[in-house]
Amino acid sequence: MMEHEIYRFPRERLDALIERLGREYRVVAPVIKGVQHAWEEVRPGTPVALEYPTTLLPPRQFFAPQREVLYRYRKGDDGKVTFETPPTERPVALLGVHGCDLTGLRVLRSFHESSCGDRMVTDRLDQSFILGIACWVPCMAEAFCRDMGSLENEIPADLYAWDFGEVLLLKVLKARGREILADAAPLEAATADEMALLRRRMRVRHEAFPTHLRFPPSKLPVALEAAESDILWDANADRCLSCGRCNLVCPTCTCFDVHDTGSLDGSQGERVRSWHGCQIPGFSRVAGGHDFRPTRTQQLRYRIFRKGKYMPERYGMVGCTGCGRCIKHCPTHISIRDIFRQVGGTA
Amino acid sequence: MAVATHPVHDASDLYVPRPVRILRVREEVAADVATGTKRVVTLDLDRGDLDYLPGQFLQVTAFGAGEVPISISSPGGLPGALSLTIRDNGVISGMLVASKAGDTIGVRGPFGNHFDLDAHRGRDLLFVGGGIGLAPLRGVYWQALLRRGDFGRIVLLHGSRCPGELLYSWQWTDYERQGVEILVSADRADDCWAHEEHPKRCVGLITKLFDEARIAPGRTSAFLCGPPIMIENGGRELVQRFGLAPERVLTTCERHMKCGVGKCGHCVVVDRYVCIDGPVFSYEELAALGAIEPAW
Repeated sequence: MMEHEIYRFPRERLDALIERLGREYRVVAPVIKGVQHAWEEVRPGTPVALEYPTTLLPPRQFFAPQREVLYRYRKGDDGKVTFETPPTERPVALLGVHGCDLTGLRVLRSFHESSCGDRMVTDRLDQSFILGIACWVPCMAEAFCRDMGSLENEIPADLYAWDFGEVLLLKVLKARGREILADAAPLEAATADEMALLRRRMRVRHEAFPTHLRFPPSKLPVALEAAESDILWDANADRCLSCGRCNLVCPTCTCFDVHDTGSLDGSQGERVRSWHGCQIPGFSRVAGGHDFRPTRTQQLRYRIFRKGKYMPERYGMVGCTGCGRCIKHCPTHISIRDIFRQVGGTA
Repeated sequence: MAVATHPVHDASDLYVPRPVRILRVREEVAADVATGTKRVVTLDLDRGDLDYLPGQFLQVTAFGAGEVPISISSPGGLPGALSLTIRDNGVISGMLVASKAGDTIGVRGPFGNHFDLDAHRGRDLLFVGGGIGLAPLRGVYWQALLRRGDFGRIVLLHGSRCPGELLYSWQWTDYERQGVEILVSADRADDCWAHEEHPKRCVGLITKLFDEARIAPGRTSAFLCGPPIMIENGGRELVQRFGLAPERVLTTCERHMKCGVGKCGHCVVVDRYVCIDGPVFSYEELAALGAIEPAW
């Protein structure tokens, strides 16, 4: 940690940072919205929440949007078809990203870089600016970021912040971070006292985060493979309503649906992709009606295996960040954390 | 055995189809409300510089309706049209089936791995196509006929629900002249069946034809495609009852697909993407995945 540059940044300069970023980026930060926090576009003066319980939707919405036009087409009178891809939008700057969501963005990249590579997503990740923030306490009871190893993660942030109230200590992780920071406030190294305080608090921080699993995430594939007990899957699947919330709030879910909307005569239209999920009925159904993963037990088991086994084996990163969203928002309290704990018991 | 060949894309065209013109439309099966038979056509496309290998598929767009995965039904690596055999199975395929010569449709691909015939040189080839499942195999046996000397017997088994739904029967005489043994079955016979000039046919499931096919297990490679139940039961019979090596029983999997490039997630079987790791899998691979009940 200490080989990095760490600067002190007065909280009152936050608006200057937003103003500076706003010249190039669409600046997005957690903002209170009703009873929850959500990622919203902010301007200087917008009340930004740097201490917040995890947002309902993860930041992946800015890299693989909920709904996105892939292209528009137009058929000429001569039958010739022309395509037009949507213009590139302003890159996004995210302020105050928790370790779990930083990990989610790493997983998103490892997935979208694989095989053919979806540059629509990876280009947005490349062009983005990210300010990560350290969590001092679990942001909600469902979180198990410490178990999943994402509490400590700082990648892919440009700047990483520790919040000390009036002062933030900011670590420079990329040259771009220093550049932006220097524009927003005079670069001022953290004092010896501040560094000592940071070291002290970081030494004991993990004590605030209870552990839930008795094994490291690297053991998940083996633990899941050993968990052949159908009782576990059935008991959870019996409660599942197939609503798909767990998919939609997950920072590492990537599945999408594609559909066309066109004019009545078919002369023009657009192709749109939008989020989809493996827990939603019909996800694996083919023409003619055959469903290759028809039961809720199969679907639930697939989601857990995908996150804990298939993703690490294929993309090199566990597909669960421990953010706790799917647990918090499940209407029947199905908990991936409890399932991981239970399979760990059988391993 | 199945070699993955990932197509090369740049960012802009990953999801954008290329427009292609339909050169010919041939009706393979006429719709029949009485038997519930759906119309099947073969579209011959002006493929331009698009090349492919047998077993690969395209994502095909009917402009205004959407995109569906369709197997290629012609051999690659040759000049000539690219053929797609499509059944009127829904809104999008219905629009494709209704298209006329001169119309423009969109294609992306080719995607997926392929049937590698080199791995079966010198062996007997047994093709088993149930219904529209014959379509993805057509490019493979066509390819095999272009190098007829490389293989032993070529046996083609084709079954359908009723005789009117059999595919490509207009090519059979020509195939038989080239030494292909063709056996057909239909779940139920009809009036025209009785008068048809084809001796090798039976009423019942396609697996009934296995007994007629004089399979030499040690030297036979089987290529299966059809409804999931046919792949599972047919594969098991070939392995269990006829003693074929499970890695020599190959099939191509049908799945719901929205991208073709391992991203949309619809086609995943356990931890494999049918679109990039398949669609061609051996019976051995599918059984190891637990996707089918193994024969052992």
